[in-house]
Amino acid sequence: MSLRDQAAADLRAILEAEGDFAVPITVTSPEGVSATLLGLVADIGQSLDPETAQAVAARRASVSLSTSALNEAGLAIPRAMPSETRKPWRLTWTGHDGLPRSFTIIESMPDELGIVVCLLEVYR
Amino acid sequence: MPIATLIDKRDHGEVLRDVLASIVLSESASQQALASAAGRDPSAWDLRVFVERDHPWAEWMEAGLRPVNTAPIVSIVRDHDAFSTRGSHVGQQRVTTTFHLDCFGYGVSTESAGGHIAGDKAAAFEAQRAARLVRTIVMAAEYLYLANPAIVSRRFIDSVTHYKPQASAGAAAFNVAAARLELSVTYTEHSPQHAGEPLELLSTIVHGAAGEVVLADFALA
Repeated sequence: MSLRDQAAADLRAILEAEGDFAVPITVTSPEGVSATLLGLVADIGQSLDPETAQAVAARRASVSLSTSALNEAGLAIPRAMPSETRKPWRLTWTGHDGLPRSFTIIESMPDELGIVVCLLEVYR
Repeated sequence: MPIATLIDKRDHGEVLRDVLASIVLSESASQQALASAAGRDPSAWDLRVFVERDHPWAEWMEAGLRPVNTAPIVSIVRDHDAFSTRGSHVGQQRVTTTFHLDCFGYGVSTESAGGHIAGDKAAAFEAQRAARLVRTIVMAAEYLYLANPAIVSRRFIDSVTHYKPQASAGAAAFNVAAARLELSVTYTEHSPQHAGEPLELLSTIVHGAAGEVVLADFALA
């Protein structure tokens, strides 16, 4: 196994480590195809203004998923849906407080080591 | 010599800021009543009003976690006072104050029958709808002098700027759009003055036989 393959395998193992920080995330495509995958989630309530470096009240939500897991589930990489005549990608999970979370994609950032980070906005 | 009277009067600029809030809030309620009477959904005329707040829309960050009030928010901020010597005198200063009437609209991506409603677009439409309502209210003939004709001589909306609050710019989890109406109001401010003392004038004028003034003396006592 090459170093690159080892790195990709290690990253997937971290993303999907049950009992650690991995969370079951249900990913639903615009066509209605769903799969529940393990991944990392973030929903952060503060951000830094890039121009002033001052803390500003903001909210950034994101998930990190394995592109291999998406592929094995028959799903493409989730993307933002600009057309309002189609359903967007939907991602749902249960928060640490037991409350449901429902988001759609603003922006997706896949990389060559098998991770896609998706920036999210609330969806209902 | 110190000022003898206690300065406990609010400046007219402060009063007018609160008057603007009162006007927008009361007219929003009135419009909702008119809408209900006309059989229309009154929520389209609902506005929440805040004064001098930085983040009146902070609760919208809870979107998706708990119910939030999604009515557009109007925040009234007193931005700049410009004093002018023209039209001013010892006891009265002519001022033009710029008020920011920031109209915030909230939008969330929502499933629809044929696809979905984009949250960023919904937020922008809401902000512009609120701005339209506020502009119409403030520039209505009923508020030519902002209900204070004794002090206000002019009010005018100089510009409307559409923008996204920094916290909602880029890849934020919630959608907020804003429209800033810059309203300039010209009015007068007053300051404590001395109470005048009555003066007694003693004068003597002596006329000659031909009516010519030969002696005149004036003295103030």
